[in-house]
Amino acid sequence: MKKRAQEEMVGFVIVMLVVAVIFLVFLSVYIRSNKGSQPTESIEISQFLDSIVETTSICSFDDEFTFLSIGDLIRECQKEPIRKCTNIPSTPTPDESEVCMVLASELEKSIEDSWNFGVDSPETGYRFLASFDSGIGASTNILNSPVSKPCGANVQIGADKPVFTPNGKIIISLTIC
Amino acid sequence: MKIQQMAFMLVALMIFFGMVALIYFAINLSNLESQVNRLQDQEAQELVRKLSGTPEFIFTSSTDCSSCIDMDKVERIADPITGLIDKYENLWNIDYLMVECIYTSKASGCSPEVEVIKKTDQLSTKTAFVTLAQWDDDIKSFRYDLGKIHASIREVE
Repeated sequence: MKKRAQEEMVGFVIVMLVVAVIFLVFLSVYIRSNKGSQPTESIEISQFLDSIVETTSICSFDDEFTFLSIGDLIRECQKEPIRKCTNIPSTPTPDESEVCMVLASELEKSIEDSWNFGVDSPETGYRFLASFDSGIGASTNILNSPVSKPCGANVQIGADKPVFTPNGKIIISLTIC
Repeated sequence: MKIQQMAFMLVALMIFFGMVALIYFAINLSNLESQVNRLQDQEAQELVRKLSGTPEFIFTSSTDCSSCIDMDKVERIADPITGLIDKYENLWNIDYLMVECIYTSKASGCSPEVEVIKKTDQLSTKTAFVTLAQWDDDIKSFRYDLGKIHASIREVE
């Protein structure tokens, strides 16, 4: 009788252990899904991306008769990265008049004017990415120089937006942390 | 004896599942408050952004710019001489409205902010990014700058 009771106790402990392990697995999956690498979708950043592609840039191909928008600059950077803005004087490598360099500089200025980044601020850094997706094969990054500022351990928020080109689409994404 | 053992087993299991449920709901409820705040913020931002799509603000010279607001219209409405703002203040049901330029590629920098409806009290404002469109005589074309629209929606008393 005593032995049987002991067996039942052992059985009960095993059942409890199995249930506890299942619970822990569920809990870890739940926590991981919340703290994934994907930043939380932000309406503010989405609005920023919508607006920035329309903004007039400093780049002109016809001696300041017309100026390209940032959206056009993104398309030009993908199509012909070494094309030069005729109204900007050339400099030794890296050439500041190349469309991709102008694009990176304009994006950096506009992002840093839109948020206050710093150690005492809720936002410490950002990362802007532009990748071209032709529909076949892997997407490629179109910006040679990184448009980013180091992030701390802050929560990441972000958004992305497609910029369409005749031969595919460029996905621009901004993450603020 | 067996009934006692079974009762003990059932009670232990009930306590265990009760604890699991408590932990689960505690985690869920702690996230709920932040989710509500985030959704309220997003809704307010969308409302502010919707203002830029009203006929009084929208830029119609270009058909493919949904986020653009016409700065000439904004300046005209804000001009006290026209007296337009008294009519619109109650129509929009907002206490404060301001349009600010954030970034421009223009060498002379951003144009000053335009306060359409002046702030009369300490109000919490919501902000949305917009594109500010305005004719530029220097480039003989429309210039599009990055801007923000700040508004305080009137609360129901």
